[in-house]
Amino acid sequence: MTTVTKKDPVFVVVQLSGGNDFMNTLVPYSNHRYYDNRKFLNIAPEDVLPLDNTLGWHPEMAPFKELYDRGMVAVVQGIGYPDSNRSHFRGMDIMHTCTPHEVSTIGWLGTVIEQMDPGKENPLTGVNFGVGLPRAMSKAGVPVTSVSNLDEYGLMSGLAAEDQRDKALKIFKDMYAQAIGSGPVMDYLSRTGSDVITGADMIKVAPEQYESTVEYGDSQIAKSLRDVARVHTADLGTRIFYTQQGGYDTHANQLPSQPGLFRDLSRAVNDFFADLEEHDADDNVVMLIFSEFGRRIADNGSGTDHGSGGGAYLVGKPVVGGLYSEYPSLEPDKWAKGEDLEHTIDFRGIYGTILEQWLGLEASPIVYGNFEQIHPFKNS
Amino acid sequence: MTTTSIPYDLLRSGFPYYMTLGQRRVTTAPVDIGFGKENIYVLTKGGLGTQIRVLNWEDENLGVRGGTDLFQWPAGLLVDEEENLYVSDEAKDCLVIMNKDGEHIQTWGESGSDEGQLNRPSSLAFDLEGNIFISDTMNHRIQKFTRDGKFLQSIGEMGTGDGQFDMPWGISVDQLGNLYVADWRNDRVQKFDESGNFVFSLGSSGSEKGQFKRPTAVTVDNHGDIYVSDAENDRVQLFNKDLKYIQSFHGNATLSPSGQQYILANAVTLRLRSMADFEKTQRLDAPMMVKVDDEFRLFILDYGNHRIQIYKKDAVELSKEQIAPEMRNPILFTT
Amino acid sequence: MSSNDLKLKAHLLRRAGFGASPKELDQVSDKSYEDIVEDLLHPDRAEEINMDYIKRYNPELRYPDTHPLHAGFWIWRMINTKKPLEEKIALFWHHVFATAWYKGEHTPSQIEQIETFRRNGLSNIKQILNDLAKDPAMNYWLDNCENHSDQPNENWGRELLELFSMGVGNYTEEDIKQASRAFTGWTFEQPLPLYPYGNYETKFVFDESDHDFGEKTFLGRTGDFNGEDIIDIICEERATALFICRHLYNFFVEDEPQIPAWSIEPPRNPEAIDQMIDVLMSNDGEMVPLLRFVFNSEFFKDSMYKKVKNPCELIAGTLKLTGTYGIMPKQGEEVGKLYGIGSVMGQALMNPPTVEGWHTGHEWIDGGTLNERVNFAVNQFNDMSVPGLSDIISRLGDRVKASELLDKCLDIIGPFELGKQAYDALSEYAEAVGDLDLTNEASIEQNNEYIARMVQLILSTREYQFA
Repeated sequence: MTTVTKKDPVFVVVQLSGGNDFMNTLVPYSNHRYYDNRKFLNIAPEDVLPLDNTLGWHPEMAPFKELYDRGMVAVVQGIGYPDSNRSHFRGMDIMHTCTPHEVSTIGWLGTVIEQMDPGKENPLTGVNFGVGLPRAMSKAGVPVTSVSNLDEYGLMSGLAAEDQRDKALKIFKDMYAQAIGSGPVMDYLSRTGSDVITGADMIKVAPEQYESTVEYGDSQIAKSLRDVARVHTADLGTRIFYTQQGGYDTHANQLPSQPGLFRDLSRAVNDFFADLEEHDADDNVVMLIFSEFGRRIADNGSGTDHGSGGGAYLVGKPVVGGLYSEYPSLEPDKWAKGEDLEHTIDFRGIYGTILEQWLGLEASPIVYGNFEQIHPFKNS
Repeated sequence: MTTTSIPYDLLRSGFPYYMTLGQRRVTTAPVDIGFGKENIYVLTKGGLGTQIRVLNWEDENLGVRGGTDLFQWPAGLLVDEEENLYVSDEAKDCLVIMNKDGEHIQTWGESGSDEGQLNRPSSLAFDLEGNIFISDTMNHRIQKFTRDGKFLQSIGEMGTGDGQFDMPWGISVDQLGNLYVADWRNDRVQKFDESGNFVFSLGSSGSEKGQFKRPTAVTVDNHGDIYVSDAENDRVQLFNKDLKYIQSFHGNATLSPSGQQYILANAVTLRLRSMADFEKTQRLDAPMMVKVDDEFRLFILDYGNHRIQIYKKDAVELSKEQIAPEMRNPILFTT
Repeated sequence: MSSNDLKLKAHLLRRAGFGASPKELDQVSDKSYEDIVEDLLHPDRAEEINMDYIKRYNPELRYPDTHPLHAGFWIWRMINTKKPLEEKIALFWHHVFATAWYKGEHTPSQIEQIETFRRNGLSNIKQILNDLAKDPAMNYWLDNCENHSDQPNENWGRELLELFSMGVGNYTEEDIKQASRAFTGWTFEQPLPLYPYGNYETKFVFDESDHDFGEKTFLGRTGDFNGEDIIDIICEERATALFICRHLYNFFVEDEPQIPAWSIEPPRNPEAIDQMIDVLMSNDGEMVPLLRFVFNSEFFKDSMYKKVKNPCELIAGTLKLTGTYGIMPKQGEEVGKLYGIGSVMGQALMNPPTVEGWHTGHEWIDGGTLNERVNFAVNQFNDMSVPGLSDIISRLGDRVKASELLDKCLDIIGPFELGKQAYDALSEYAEAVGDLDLTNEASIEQNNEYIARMVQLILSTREYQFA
């Protein structure tokens, strides 16, 4: 049955924090330069899961490859930004604010949320799962909800007994009641306190309503994506979801750690889409998986160091699967700074693609300019 | 050279630098070290990795054992003849035992101050029978247990007198079964015989030769030489068996093999290193642990620099006949 | 009810420090307000913190590597210091001269900068700006290491005038260019890189060969100016005194409009600012006379609860009440966590969002940060074994009538006043709890829970968000 949906487009971001090693994610297994430079940290040709006769997935990415094979994954090869200084924090900031050459505190998704809900009617328009709000979601005056644990979200959540918590919340509401003459800052606090309670009350229904046959894995990213699924399927009007998987800063020990991260990630993403499919809630969801930078071309014996050009992935039913942009050149004369993959497409073009072709928003005021876009969506 | 009896004296040729092991993110913040037949086990603690890192003598990273699911504040590491790994946990008052592959075997120990209970256990040492001494730091005593946790003996109590402690930390046992304790907040080292009787106290507070500022560990080699990691003074001091100060180690680090490989793979790091003050790279920063092996290699855990500095003693063992008798006064004339 | 005198002392300690535990308030009960001010202004009178135990159990503090740990350690110092104004003034200058770790990712220079603020924060403006101009973290943050005689970089010169001393509108673009020339060749020694063995410190270097020795004209004065000369001239300007005093007023007295608005919005209390400027200028830019004037002034004493607490004040103040994160860390207690707590409340210490620093006042509060602030304070008293709770209980006496419970608790943990809504809601709670007999062994646990809950509710009020 084909359903024509008028549901609002929903966008889920999965940030791989620490700088994922793109060359060992989508391995150029027929290129001798890869093996020349990755003497220690390489995936042997017989171990990759071939995508075609030049590229292959990391062996732990089988569930992800399955989505790719079903045509649900658009691979953005060589995503990056100009003049990378290889700092995680600066790198993340750039990716979060779209300002490579100056420091800004306006997150690109903060602006998106502001445009989606200018009247600030729904505090759940944007929801982050994790500790602390990523800069991408933050913008002064734009309410966003950040949830570290969906089952224990909200004020007084540290009080173990539910009846105690309810009593405390009732007192809290009374204490934060508006009063005449208490001044603008007190009024502001009253309003903010009430908003927090409203948001928490709304989101509380998500875990109560949710049922699924999909059994997620035991990883943090699986928990987070399950939380995304629970809130999305509860129809609370959330348009932007954000979550992250940490641990990609693989200076040392890349061999033992990266496979585990990929195993958790690819299974979680696969389960997530299976879950949405089960709830018939996947028509309007697109996921972006990205990292702040790729890693150095040559390994350092036990890991890889901060580099530049990397990869990103758009996943979902509305996506036209395949390879987009170009794989960064492994020829030494094309390396950035003599040791990095040179990016082949600017991340702001990919954000622009999502903003204009998926979310229906004008890109240039958010990414500050016009950048080359790709065309990864059906009917676009 | 394995010695069963302590030589009469030594001709000290020197103590040349031997090699460096480890680097940041591999041996981040090393707190203790132990040796298997081929493997080197380095216990690390902190935000960049609370675990046992396994290296070989080529400084290759062979992975990790244990981790925060087994211990929270690991402090001491012991490796037995089968390469089982014993780790004390200062946060949870217990001893965690794993096999060489990191599989959990047993955890024992309970919090408290009664006999056999623990309060922030830190350094570990085997006695000659293979029982385990534990530096029971916040109970200000050293306790001895069998390997599976049966209490055997307790030495010391809170105080500043002979045989008393204020937060004892590093301990070790010499080849004759004597116990040495770095009496951390008393700025001294104490020795006890096999029955636990007080033998001597070495050092006082300060930064002069023979003085200590918060000594973290002590070890003794088969010549009876005593090495003390004098952490807040950023040095290791060496005393002979008669407690005479011999020399200090401030660090002479060369590049570890993995460090060299790292730098060679990073053009920018190479350049920055060549622009910087190179001399600083050699020095010790907060040496947390010191160990010697039967080959007279001295291992200093250069905690603040995430590496292990290794020296090797060059000395000739002397019999009583080879060296003139002790003299009461100095002499200017020699032939 | 507490005397007005005690309330004022508590107010002073909240503003010039990070609040006071009931015990700490006891310790100053015999001292006059004015004597407490003098003690605060003379940190050398107080003893140093014993750091043996914290370094023993958080040994990572021995190497300057991960900044969250050291930023958290700073909050630990705020909690434990006997020299509260030394830490508070360092935080003040950190707000004004906001330098973030994320650009240089060099923890040693970040630590050193804060140490400099601790050392010189109560000296004088000229000294403070000179030290700042030579500070490697600042130098890199604002690109002065790229300010060459043949290729000037104006970033530092611009922000020195705009954000660190005079404020926009008091100088020309040409003044910025000339000031920047005077700071050419002010750079720092290349530190050894982070890998393979961790961070190393660096220090200021004056590279004579890269300095522009030519004649400069700055704010109407002409000469072969070096950076020090520029700072001398800046410090003669009333605009500088105004700028510093507005910052000081906003930080210590009452929430002001935020910096971007300063060129259009006048100060809340222009008379107070004028008086402060006179004190600063007639004392050659010395900070101690200025702060003495402020703390003893009527406008300061009238400003009780007129400032939204910054996250550091909220965290340190609350942990002083619980008695946790003390001199001897509990097992498993790690100071790095304090950084994370501040971070989710919007104040990642040593990592401000931009060179403009944090926006303060009600801008600290949004839905997310209010949730964090309330839950943090409440959660600290979930653990019934925290020493601060038994201290509060012991101060309540043997028997507490329902009608007294709220007032007594407010006195002990403040002294503290609530608006009508909160007072009524909490009185209702106290009525529901009823009279407490704290000598009755059988009901100890239940009574302690009632009291802990009362404390938690007080800490979750709007009023508790104010200093």
